[in-house]
Amino acid sequence: MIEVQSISKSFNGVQVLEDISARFEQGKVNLIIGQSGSGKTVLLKTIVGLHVPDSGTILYNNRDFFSLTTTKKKELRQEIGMLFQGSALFDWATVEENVRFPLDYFTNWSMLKKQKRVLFCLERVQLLKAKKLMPGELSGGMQKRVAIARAISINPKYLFCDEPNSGLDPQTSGVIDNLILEITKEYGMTTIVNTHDLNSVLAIGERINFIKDGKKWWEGDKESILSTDNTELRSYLLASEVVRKANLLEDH
Amino acid sequence: MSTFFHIGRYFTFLFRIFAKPEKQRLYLKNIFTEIWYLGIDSIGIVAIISFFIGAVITLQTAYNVTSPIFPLYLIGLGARDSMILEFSSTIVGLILAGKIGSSIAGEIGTMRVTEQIDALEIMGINPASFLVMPKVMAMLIFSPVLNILSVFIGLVGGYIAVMTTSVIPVSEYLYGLSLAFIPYYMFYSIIKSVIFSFIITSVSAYQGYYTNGGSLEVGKASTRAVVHSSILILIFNLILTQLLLA
Repeated sequence: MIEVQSISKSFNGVQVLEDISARFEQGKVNLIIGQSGSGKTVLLKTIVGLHVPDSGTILYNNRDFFSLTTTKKKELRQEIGMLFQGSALFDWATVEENVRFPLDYFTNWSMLKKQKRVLFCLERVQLLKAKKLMPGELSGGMQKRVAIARAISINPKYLFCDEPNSGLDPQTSGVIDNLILEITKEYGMTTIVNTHDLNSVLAIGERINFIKDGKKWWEGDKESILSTDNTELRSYLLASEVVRKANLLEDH
Repeated sequence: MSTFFHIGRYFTFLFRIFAKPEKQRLYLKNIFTEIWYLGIDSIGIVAIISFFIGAVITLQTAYNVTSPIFPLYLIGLGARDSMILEFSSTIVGLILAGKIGSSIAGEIGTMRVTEQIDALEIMGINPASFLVMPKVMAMLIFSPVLNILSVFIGLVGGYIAVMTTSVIPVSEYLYGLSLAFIPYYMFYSIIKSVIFSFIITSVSAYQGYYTNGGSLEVGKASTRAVVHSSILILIFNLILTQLLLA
C-alpha cells in the first residue's frame, strides 16, 4: 500500500499540488484522473521520488520514502516498476535487452535464468516475436507492452503508469488496460495509473482519485463515479463524449 | 548569478558521475563500447584533418622561407613542433568538441526528454554515472592514441607534400624531424589532449543531462555543448601552456 499525506509541490512559485492526501491499495488498480495540466503527472513523479515535495510524506508500506537513507531508497526503487507516457524504452537496446536490463543490473542470475525470465515477460505481453527488434521498429502499443514487460521483469511490488493509453487507438488501449489489471491481480501489486481516458476509468478503476488544479476533489470507485454529486467531477465527466452520448451520468 | 549556478551544478554533476559504480562489469563493457563509438570512430576525421594540416604547415613554412641563410631542415623541425605543441592537442580538441560534444549532448539530451533518464533513476540507477562515466573514461583512455596518431599522420602529410612538390629536399625535411626533439613536448601535448577530452565529454554531457523541453532544446543543448567546450579548451590551453612550459 502507498499512502500520500498532505503533499504540496510548487515550481518557481507556481503551486502545482496543494495538500493532497490519498491511499493507494495493494492488489488494486488505483487511478488518478483529471484534465491535462491538473497535476497528475507531477503527483505521480513525486510519489516515485522524481520530484521532492515542498511538504508532506509518502509512505510505501509505512516506509517514509523521503526519510530513507540512499541505500534504503535504492532498495525500495528496485521494488518499483514504471510505465512512462512515451514508454521510455532504451533506444540503444533491443526489446529483449530492454526487458533484461533490470535483471542485468540488479541480479546475479545466470544468463540462462535471466533469458528465461525475459521470455516469460515477453510472452506475458504477447511480444515474443519482437524480441530482436529495436524500440524504433515497434508501434506505440507494442512499445507500451515492452515497457510493461520491463517493468514487471524484477517482480515489482509497486507499478506506476503515466497515461498508458495516450496516443493509442481504443482497441489497443483496451489491451493495455486489461494487461495492467491482470498483472496487478497476478502479482498483487499496488498499481497507480494516471489517465484522462474515461473508457479506462470505467473499465479498470477500482480506486479513483480526481484531481483538478492541483487539488484532490473526489475519491471513489468506478461504480460510484457516475452517481457522484461532486460538481467539479460531474463537469469533467460531462466533457467526455463517451459519458455524454451514452447518457451514463445519473441525474441529481 | 546564473553562471555560478551552472558552475556549482556542474561540479555536483561531476560528483555524481564518479560515484562508485554498482555493477562494475556493466560499466567496463560500456567503456569499451564508448571507446569504439567516441574514439575509434573519430580516427577518420582526425587522420584526414591532420594529414592536410601537416602538409599545409610544411608548404607554408617552406614558401615563406626566402632567406638563403635559413637552414631548410628547420622547416621539418617547425612542422613537427607545430603539430606536437598545438595542432594535435588544441586544434584536434576543437574538432572533437564539434564531433563528439554535439553527439554526447544530443544523445543524453534526447534520453532526458524521452524520459529514459527518469526510467533509470526510478530503477535506482545513478544515470549520471551509468551514462556519462563510460564516455568520460573512454575518451581519457583513447585521447592519447588520437593525439599520437594525429602527430604521426600530420608529419606523414608534410613528408608527402615535400616529396610531391620538391619544395625542399626530402632528406632536409626528415633531418629536421629528428633534430633537437624534446620528448617533454609530447608529454605536454598528451596531457593537454587528456584534459581537453575531459572538458568535452563532461561539459557536453552536462548540457545534455539538464535539457528541459523537447527536440528544440536538445538542439540548443548540442550547440551550447560545442560552444562551451571550445571556449573552455582555449582558456585551458592558455593556462596549461603557462603551467607546463614556463
